[in-house]
Amino acid sequence: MSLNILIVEDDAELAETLAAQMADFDHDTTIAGNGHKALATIVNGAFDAVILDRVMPLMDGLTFLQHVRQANINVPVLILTAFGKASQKVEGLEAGADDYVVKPIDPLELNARLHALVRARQWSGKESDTMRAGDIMVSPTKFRAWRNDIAIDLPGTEFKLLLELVRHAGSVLTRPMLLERVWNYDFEPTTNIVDTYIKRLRKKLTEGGGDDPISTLRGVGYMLRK
Amino acid sequence: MRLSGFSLRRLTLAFLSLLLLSTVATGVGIYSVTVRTIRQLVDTRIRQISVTLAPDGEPHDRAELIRRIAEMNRQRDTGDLGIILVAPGHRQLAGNVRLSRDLPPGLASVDLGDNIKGLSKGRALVRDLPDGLRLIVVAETEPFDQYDRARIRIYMGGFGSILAIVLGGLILFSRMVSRRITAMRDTVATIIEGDMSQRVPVTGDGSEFDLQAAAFNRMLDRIQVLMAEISNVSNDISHELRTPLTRLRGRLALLHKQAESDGAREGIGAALEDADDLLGMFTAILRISEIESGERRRGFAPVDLAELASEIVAMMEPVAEDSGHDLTLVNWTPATIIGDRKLLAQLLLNLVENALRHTPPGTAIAATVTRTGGHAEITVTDTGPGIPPAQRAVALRRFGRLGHGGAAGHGLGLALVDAIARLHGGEVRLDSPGQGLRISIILPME
Repeated sequence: MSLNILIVEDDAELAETLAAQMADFDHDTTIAGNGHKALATIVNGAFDAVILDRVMPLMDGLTFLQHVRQANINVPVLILTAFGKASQKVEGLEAGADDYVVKPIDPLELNARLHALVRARQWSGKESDTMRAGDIMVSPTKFRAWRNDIAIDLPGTEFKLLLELVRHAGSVLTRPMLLERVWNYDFEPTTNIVDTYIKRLRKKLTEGGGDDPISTLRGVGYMLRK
Repeated sequence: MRLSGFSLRRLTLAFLSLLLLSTVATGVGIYSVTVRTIRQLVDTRIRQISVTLAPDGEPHDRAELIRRIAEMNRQRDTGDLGIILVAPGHRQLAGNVRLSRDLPPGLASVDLGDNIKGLSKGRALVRDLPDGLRLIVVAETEPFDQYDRARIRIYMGGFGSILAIVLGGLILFSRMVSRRITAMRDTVATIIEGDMSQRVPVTGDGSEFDLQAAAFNRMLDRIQVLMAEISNVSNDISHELRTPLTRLRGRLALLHKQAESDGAREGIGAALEDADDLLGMFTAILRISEIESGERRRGFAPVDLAELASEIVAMMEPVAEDSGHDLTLVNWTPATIIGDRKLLAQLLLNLVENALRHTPPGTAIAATVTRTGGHAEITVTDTGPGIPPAQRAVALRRFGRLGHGGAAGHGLGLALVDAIARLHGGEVRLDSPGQGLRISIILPME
């Protein structure tokens, strides 16, 4: 999926690097060097996502974000910043950001996160009672899952993991994303918790026959096929 | 004089005792000097009177003596005198008072018991004259009636008010001192807990204490600046090194994907893992510095450690199973503390991960949550190789990796645990229940 991305970053070199990295994933990018330019740019163009630096001269990232949200522009915004404290993250999310990522970030991880944000916007808005990804169906309200209409008995963590994979079926979910969303951790454990649970989930999903619907992207994360 | 060996309390007590002693001594001194002086004056006076009436070495005319006595008794300024002339056989020849007992010759004290009219305390001079006559002169030693009671009132009022003022001042002073010192100690305690933003209150009265508090605060400002600089340096290093490392990791990941031979893929995979380890180390350094800044304290809320531990242990069981370990929560008592749930989850996870990493497959790992007094205690015990007592302190230090086992990890796991425990006012203890290692986290319950 090719995206049209607005990069708001005062460090020109860094902005160029980001643009080049995004170009590797076939995304189109526009660079705005400060908050005022970014505001002027955003109202004129249809962007799929915004990568926003937090600290900029003239208008800082959070102020820019508040203006954007007040203008009812609902584009997904990912704050990319050197400020990684928990309190700073909360500030960013409260200001209206969709994701908060600490520099530096692996381009693969950034790409995965942008895709997840754009996909989340494409949902119909209300989370329906059941969600489908290929032959897998989950009910977030009933905490039940089925493959080929056969119920799969999943413990809590495995169920949450599958739900997240189904929500983002067709896109990559990185380990940090899964740890944030499934485990609600703001740190990365040193053991392979995610891998262990993916292994368990795979076993459960393939117990009743059928091939493995989860693919591993080594060094990046996991993806459930659509 | 060396005073440093005495406590303030003992010095105060000693000072008060001295004050009391000197007050009593002054009172007693004034009393006895006054009494003695008055007695001497009275003695001199009655001797003069006696000699005036009957000069020594002169023959006495009994009638003349009686006349002189009567005349003297009439004079106004001798109204407080008693003069008695007694003939042999106790016959009183003249006099304005009566004695109820015989007094020996010379000076003697008389009091109420002598039943002398109008006299409560006094002195008497008894002189034997030729012809068997005896002349007795009595005078009061009290300037007015019930002088003793008045004197007690004066002493009590005077010295009592001095004592009251000194005591009151002392109490006020010590309260003031202790209030200021307590304020300083409270500040220090909060700083020890990690809140460097606290300062000693300055009242603005320009007192020694204010100057002291201001100097103390300036010192804290300076320490805070230095600490921030150190923290900035380590943060900067971590940030700056993370950028090229992330780039390196990205290239390795790309190469890994494109690798044509299995050998190359394996080598690049190992390099990728090294890069991940390094990135993990920088993340941990930044995390420890975030925790040590004490900022997370703002988000503190009640957390039940037993519930959290059972959640973490249940979550880690499959991981432990994969590595051939036997992980169980053997004992848990509800223990709610005020803390940061995510950090406490990280603490528990780190303890379990630490045990998994440093013990061979087949090792049993047992976790407990208990309560003793006002404290909650989390323990994670393994039956692995343990840590020799001499190296236990090293284990909690940053990069305090121990030489044995060649186990992976960046040596920051327990330093992180220690930082989280300290943020919650707790401590980490390492010991061995016979075999293996037991790590205990003792956290205060509020």
